Amino acid sequence: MLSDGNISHPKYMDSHVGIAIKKIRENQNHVGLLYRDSTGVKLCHLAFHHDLRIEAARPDYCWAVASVFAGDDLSAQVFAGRLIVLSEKQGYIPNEIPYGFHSEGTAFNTKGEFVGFPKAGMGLTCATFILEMFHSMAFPIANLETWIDRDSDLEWQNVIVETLQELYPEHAKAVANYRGSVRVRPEEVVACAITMDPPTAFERATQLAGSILSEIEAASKI
Amino acid sequence: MPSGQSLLNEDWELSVLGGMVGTSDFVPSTELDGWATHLLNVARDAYIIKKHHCVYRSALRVHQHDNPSRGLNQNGVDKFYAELARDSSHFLTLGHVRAEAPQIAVQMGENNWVVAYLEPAFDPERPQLNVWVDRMIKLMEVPERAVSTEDIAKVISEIEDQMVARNFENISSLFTHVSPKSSPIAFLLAALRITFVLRKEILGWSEFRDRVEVEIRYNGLDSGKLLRGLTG
Repeated sequence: MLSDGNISHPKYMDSHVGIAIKKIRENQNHVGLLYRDSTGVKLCHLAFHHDLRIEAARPDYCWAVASVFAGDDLSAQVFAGRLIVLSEKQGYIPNEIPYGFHSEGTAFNTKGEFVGFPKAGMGLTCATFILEMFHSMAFPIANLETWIDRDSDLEWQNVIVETLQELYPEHAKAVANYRGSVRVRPEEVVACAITMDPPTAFERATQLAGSILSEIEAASKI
Repeated sequence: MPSGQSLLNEDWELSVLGGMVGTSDFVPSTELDGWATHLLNVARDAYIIKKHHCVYRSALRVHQHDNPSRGLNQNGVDKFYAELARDSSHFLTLGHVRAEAPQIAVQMGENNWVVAYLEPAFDPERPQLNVWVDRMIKLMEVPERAVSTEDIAKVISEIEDQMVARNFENISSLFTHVSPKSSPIAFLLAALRITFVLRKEILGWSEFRDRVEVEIRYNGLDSGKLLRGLTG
């Protein structure tokens, strides 16, 4: 399902858009978007609060081509163009992206301003950042209405709030108000991006996510 | 010399530019040709004299009223516009003059005037809605070729700047005036995708989408796939 970066470096991706995931630590994976420009393949990912990063594709990620663009190279190229703009405007848009569990499904407010979340504590995770990128350009890869709460997600949110507390105490306090929000996990976003018949529903995404977890777990042990 | 205001209120008026003079075989009055040529020379002199005082270009405006049998008739007007469409390079520029009042006016015959307008210099600092639209049309209407991802990014970046500045009128104007037939499909898709979230704020978004769909189909591409999600 995925290419192991140790075997096939993502810099060799010949498509315009892909998705990359790696295991950070136990119960914590991280996901980003791969895109190709004239200089090579780049990795775009929301590392944490106000920390969007664009860097050269790295071999420590497992990756796959975004199958949502299968047979539609034009749309993939347009999507890659959007990511180039994002990378060129660092300090203009990226630094404004807060980390959080809840975004009301859009990174744009009704006035057309980017990432203008109306309430403190709202924000994106590495996974929902990717969903927003797709959904804001009318590529709905996930059927979010089918997602459900899971107890283990609340545990994860508590850990994130504790981490934020150390670095951004004020923001952490606001984010804590959104504990209990439905969570889309990194491996589930990967599942949504590599299926060919989006939008993907929760049941199908979690089914694929199980296989993805096994692959990145195995890759992390190499 | 008549005032500019009174001339602008005539029954009808036609903006023409210097290039028309001398090739106006569809203008029935030979007298008009002579006067127009004279005026063009005067205007050219004025341009030279005044170019350091914000004179940008000169234009001739031909007026007719009361007596359609003299000067330009409707047939002449039709031919004039046909000539414009055929080869616009004959003319200094297209469109109506921006000057508020004529600088030079010469009466020729009982009911006709030929008027020279001297326009203010183009000031890039002056806010002009159409400057951005014109630039975007030049950016997007390029000969069919494989566009790079960076080319697409440029189109997205320009439109996104307008979105952030909430200049929705500019985007709407672009969507009205850009020709899908003359633009690479990737540019059109990029314009639609980046503005999708604001489709209800941008007048004419749906109409533009429909025009793009026609062009995609004309090119034998799968419009259902390329435009998926761009509804509602």
